[in-house]
Amino acid sequence: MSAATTALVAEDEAPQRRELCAMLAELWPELTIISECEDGLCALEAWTANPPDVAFLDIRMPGLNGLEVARQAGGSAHVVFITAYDEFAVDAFEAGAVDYLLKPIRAERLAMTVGRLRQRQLPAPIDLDSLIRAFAGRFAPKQEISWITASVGDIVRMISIDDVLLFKAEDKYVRVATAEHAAHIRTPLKALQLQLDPEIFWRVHRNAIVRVSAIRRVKPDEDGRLQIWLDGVSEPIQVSDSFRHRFRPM
Amino acid sequence: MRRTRPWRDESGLERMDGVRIGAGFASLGGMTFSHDALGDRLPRGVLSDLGGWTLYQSFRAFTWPWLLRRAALFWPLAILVGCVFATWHSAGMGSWLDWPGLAWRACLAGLAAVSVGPLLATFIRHRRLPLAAERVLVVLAILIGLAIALIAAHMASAYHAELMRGYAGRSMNVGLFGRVVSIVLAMSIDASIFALVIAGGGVAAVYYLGERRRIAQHEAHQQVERLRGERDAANMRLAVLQAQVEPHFLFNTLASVRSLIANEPERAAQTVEALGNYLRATLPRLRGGRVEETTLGAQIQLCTGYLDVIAARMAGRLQVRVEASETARAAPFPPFILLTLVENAVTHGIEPKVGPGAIAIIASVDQDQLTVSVEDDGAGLEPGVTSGLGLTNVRAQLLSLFGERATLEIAARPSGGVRARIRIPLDGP
Repeated sequence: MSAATTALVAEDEAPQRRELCAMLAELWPELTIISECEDGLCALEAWTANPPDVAFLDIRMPGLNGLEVARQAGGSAHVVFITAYDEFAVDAFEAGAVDYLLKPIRAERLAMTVGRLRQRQLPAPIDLDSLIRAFAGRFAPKQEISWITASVGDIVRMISIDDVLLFKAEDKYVRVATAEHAAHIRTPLKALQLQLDPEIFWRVHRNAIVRVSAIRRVKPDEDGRLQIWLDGVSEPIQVSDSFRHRFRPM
Repeated sequence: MRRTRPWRDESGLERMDGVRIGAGFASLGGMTFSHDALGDRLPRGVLSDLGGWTLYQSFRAFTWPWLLRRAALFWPLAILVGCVFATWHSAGMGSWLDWPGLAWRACLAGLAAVSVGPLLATFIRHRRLPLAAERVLVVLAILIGLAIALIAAHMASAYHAELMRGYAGRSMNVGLFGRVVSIVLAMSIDASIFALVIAGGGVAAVYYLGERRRIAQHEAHQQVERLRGERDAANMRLAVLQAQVEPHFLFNTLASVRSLIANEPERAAQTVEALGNYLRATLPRLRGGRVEETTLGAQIQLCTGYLDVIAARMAGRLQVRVEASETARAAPFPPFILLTLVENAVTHGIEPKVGPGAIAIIASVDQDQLTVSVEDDGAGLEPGVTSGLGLTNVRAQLLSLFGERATLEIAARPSGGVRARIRIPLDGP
């Protein structure tokens, strides 16, 4: 390996950062630490300005988290992620070529990492993108929506899903209606539907998902198409023919 | 100053169990319903849709408590019908001498109709015969009761016919009262068999035959509810454990302490001290069985313990402010809720933010309401959808303790960051 292996170290707590640098200096004297950063934005900047061979990234950092830094910087370096605790992530990375350190970082464990990095003679970095995608997927397993964060008037609020009566697609946005508020979000209905409890929310039209328990009245209009009135929502909601069967009388 | 009941906190969870499971299950005392306890009242869920509007129907059909309460309702009715009949006749014929003879016969017929079948059936049921035999005999008893009732009614009407023969050729003096009773009688003659079936225990027999099925259904329903309650409680317990010993927090703090030891031993000591205080405040709650009162003051202390650790690690990057009056601190407050909000403020507000940050815990008492806010000047809210387990637990806990009387609001602050605000009634759940 050439003597000029360079590294970037990003960790928001200064003492931990210093300690890591000190440990690296001892275990890998030829390594030159070219950037030390205390938040994600600084790390990304330093990375793009001065691409390192190896990046040690804390996952939880102010500004941008470590994953985002690695993703945005592109696969131009070997990345070692550092985190205090995440068993799933450990699984994900054990399968990959990128290393993963748990805090507090033990010297022997760091020596292993250094050993791996040196042995590889730093070949072309592996495809980080797909790994990060897999990792991010495990990081945030798909769960049902329970909160919606959206502007109500000029204030951004969190609305509990239990208060939502109606999702209605309107132009580029989806209107979220509760008894008191109306808010707009960008998540499309199709994506929402996948994350909503199908027992509680029914899709009744291409442009509407309604809370079943809030349905007050179902009535055909003059053209024979079904319309729904919801408690707490003033306008009627159209039921499209493909969802009509759900309202057959029992 | 008002005295409010402090929270009994046995790790907070027993309370949740009590609220969630107990609500639906208390009537059964957590036991399956015994088919032998004939005198017991049936739980509400066992009553049929029509049942339960009178007292007797909340007991098992054809048992003594059922029979007595039913008699209390039906006997006066039977006597009333008998007397009205006699009065109708006497007023119509202008002969009140007929009244006593006719009245006691009509009343007796009515009483026989409402009592004989059910009485026989009750005797049979209390013999505790094998189920199939009991069912057959009960139905038989009701039929015998109906036959006897018909005979009694026939005897009463024969006596009436006998009387009428004495008035041959005279028409009845029909006043308003007479006309009304005539109409009612005319209607009830058509319906007399039907009326006899209702009064004589026919409906009760049908009810009796369906009793075991309803009890079984009710028990299955209770079982489902109980399991659901257990699952919710277990989920909550897990979430609480996770919140208590949030591994990320713990390991990060340890890493921080280790790196401080060499160069900044004083700060290392501070961090260890703060961690010790925090753990002392949290860990006892993991032990079950210990009763502890939790007030808002205690919860604030727990949160400042947590924030002290974070502040020590962040080396001045975090400022903490607490504004709470003595009254507010003394108010009872459910556990875990405030800590969850503070943790959220740190994880989603302060940690992702570049540069210094501040967190404020502000509590005030206004009339009967306690308002507690956690404010940060951090990264703010990002529009979108989330699963937010911690907040969902907070909401669920507030809802199960206070119902609609508690509110949780999370909104961006105009000056940046987020404010989470809880309002709960001061008079407790």
